[in-house]
Amino acid sequence: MKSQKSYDRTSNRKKRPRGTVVRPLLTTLKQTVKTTPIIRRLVPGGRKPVTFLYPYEKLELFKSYRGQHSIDWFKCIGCELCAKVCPNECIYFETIKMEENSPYLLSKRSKMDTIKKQIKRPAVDVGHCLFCGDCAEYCPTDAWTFLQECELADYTREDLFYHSDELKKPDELSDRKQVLYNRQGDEPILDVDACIGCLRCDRECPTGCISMTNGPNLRKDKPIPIPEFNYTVCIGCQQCVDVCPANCLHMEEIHYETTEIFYNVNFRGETHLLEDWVPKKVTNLKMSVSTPKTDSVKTPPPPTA
Amino acid sequence: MSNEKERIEQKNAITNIAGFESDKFIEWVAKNIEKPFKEGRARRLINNNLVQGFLNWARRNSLWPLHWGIMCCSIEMAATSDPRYDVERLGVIYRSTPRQCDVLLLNGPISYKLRPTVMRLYDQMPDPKWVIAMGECTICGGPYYDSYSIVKGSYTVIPTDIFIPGCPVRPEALMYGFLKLSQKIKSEKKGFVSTRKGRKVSAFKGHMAQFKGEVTYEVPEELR
Repeated sequence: MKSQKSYDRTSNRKKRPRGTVVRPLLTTLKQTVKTTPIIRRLVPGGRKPVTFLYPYEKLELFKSYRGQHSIDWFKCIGCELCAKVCPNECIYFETIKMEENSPYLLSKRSKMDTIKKQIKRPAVDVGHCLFCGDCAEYCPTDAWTFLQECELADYTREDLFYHSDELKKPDELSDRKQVLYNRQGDEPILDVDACIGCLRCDRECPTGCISMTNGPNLRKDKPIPIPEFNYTVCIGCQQCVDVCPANCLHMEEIHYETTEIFYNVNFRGETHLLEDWVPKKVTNLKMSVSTPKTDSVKTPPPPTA
Repeated sequence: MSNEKERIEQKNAITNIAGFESDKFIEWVAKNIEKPFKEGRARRLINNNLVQGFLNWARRNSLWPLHWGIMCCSIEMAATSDPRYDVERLGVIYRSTPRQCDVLLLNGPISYKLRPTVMRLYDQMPDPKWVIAMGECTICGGPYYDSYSIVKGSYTVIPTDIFIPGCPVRPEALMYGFLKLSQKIKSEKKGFVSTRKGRKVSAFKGHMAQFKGEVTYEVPEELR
């Protein structure tokens, strides 16, 4: 809405554009009339003001917003998968000594912790956190949740480090439902000849999916014990791989528990159920000791070539 | 005649401040402005409890940050001043020169190349000044925590008062940070302010005490 006369440079006299004072005043007046409580119903184009008054009224954030962390201590099994997945490496695990009849001591935990009567729970350096939500996404027990609280400003850097008991979810809010799901997709595979049978993986496994059996190799005329994995329970937390002193374990993608949801789309646009690819992969495996279950797979197609 | 000459010279000296060289200007300021404030009636008037309270009220209700964007958090800085989250209600008006500012709002990773600029901006600001570290990149380097070119935290360069975690921080969170800063200025007379966890820390601007070989903000027990 620029006036034509202001750009007329034919005359020598300096001209100010028309309406520099009056027009803005008029527009602000219009807005005030449009947004005042009673008059706005009578005036055409009347509406509520856009501004929300922050400290007095708070905006309701959407449910998937990731603010302050909170951890369900009943569900967490201390598998340290979140710390491995974190891109900023800002999650630290703290060991806490517990009493004998504590409700946080559950059966699904590592045998080492049962002996020592301790639990491992995560602590977060919030000043370093990226709020990407990978920890909550990969958590095999759904223990990680994010609150909608975004006001985390503080006066010091040290106070942004939240210890494990400060991030604890209140006991009343947890539903105590035990879930175990492998969201990583990888599972440990054993090299039998390298295994020395030290049982450390058995002690460290947080789900108790490892059972020791007699292996094919002998030491002093006695069979060396090797771990046998129950892949239906395994969550792929890599705790056994980290602990292994002989580097005889490695992670590899074997199968999914239910593959009905997953599709494989190639560049031509043909879609295949991922289920069809699984049996091919299983037959190609040579390193695995115990083959995974293939009961859920329906009528595998004949392998090509 | 001589008295008249002196008077004219004095008049000229006052009127031609802009024409002074820098050394002469500093001398003039020390003689005519700083001296009456440091000793004399003006000093007593300012030290008065009522005047100090008024000055404190004025400071905490007009926090003018520098309009300076480093990286992506500056988009949120812009969003706070839009009509939806109208931050000018709280007296936060963005200024484009450090000489009119009270708050240095750092929003983004400070590279080693940018560090002298940050220090210079901090030095250019007039004295009651505060620093807000916004976002995790400024607080501790964030995703660039192991980078060769990023400063590991703004508090290693200049004393920082408020830390706002988030990636990026929401406009509400930034407004909450400004409100917290005003709270800190309010409790300057008390000497300490309590954090979210309930720990008591110093309320003076950029005050960092040294205990056990580490630089912390904790208040010594004598001051409490």
